[in-house]
Amino acid sequence: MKKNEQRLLDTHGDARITVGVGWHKKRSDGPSHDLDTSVLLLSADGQCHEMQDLCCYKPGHRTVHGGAVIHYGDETQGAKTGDDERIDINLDRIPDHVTRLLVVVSIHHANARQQNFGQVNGAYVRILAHDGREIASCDLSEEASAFTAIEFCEISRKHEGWAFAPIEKGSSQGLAGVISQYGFNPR
Amino acid sequence: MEPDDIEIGRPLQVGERIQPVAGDIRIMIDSDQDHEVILIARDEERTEIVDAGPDAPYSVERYDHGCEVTIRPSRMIGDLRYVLGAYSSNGTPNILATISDPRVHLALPRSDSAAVSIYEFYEKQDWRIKADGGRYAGGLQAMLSS
Repeated sequence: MKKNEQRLLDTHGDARITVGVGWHKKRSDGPSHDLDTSVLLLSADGQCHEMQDLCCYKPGHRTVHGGAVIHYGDETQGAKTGDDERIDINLDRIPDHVTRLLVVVSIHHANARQQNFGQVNGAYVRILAHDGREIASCDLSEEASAFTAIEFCEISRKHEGWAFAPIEKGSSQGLAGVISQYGFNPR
Repeated sequence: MEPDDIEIGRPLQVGERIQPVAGDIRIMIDSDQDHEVILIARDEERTEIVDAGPDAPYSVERYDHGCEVTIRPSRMIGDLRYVLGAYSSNGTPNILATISDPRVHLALPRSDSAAVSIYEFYEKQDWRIKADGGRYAGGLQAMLSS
C-alpha cells in the first residue's frame, strides 16, 4: 500500500487487532535501545480530549476506555522472542467520539542518548488481525533510520467499518513531540 | 594525511543507511594512532572473522596512519551481515572512514573502548551499508561474542 492510501479493514467479523513492535537487544556498549508503542485516539477535530485517549507504557495509560485498547507492558531492552511490546485494540469497543486511531512507535530518551531507529537492529512494527494475519508492517531500522519516533499508521472510522492507512511519518522529537501535536502536554 | 586534504563528502549519522554504487566498495580509513582493521561475518548463531585477500570478501592496503579497504559484495553471502571494525589494546583512536562512492564519511572520536564497529554491510534486495559506531569495552573478544 502507498502512504496515506486507505483500505477497509477485513476483520472477518472480529474487530480485534494487535499492534506488535519488536527489536533486537543491543550488542555494543552504552544505554540499551528502549522502543515504546503508543496509540492515540483522536476525535473528529484531530485532537485527544481526555487522558484515556492515549494508550502507552505509562501507568494510568495502559488500559484505556474500559479495555478497548490495552498495552501489555513496557519492554526496555528488546530481549523477548517475537514482539517485544504489544497493544491490543478492540475496534468494536472504541467510544463513538473517537474517529481515528494513530499508532506511534518511539525511542525512549532517544535525544539524550543520541539514538535513532537506524541504530536499532531488527526494529519493526506490525498490525495483526485477530487470526494472526499480518495487515501491515514496517522495517523501522531501514525506513525510519534517521528518526526517534514514527507515526506508523492510522485506523479511521468509516460508514462501512474501519479503514487502515499507512502514514510512516518520521519525527526527531520522540513521543513527546508527536503527542503534543494531538493535544497532550508531555510530562 | 589530514582530513582537509581529501574530499570526504557528507557526514553520516550513526545508524544511517546508504546504498553503495554497485560493485566493489572502497573505504579510506584514516587515523591518528595504530589500530587493526577487521571484517566479521555474523548471523543469529555465529560470528566469524573473515580472511582478507584479493579474492576474499575484503582486502586491506595499509599506509601510514591508515589503510584502504576494498569490500566485495560479490564475494559475500547474502544471509550474513558483515561488520568492518577496528580494535587496539589501549582504546580506539580517532577514525575517519570515507566511502568513495557515494562520497560520505563517518567520523568516530577516540574512545576508551578497545573495539569499534565502523560499518555494517548487508543485503536487502541490494547491498546496503549501515554507519554503525558501536563500541565494545571488552575489545575484539566482546565484539566477536556479541
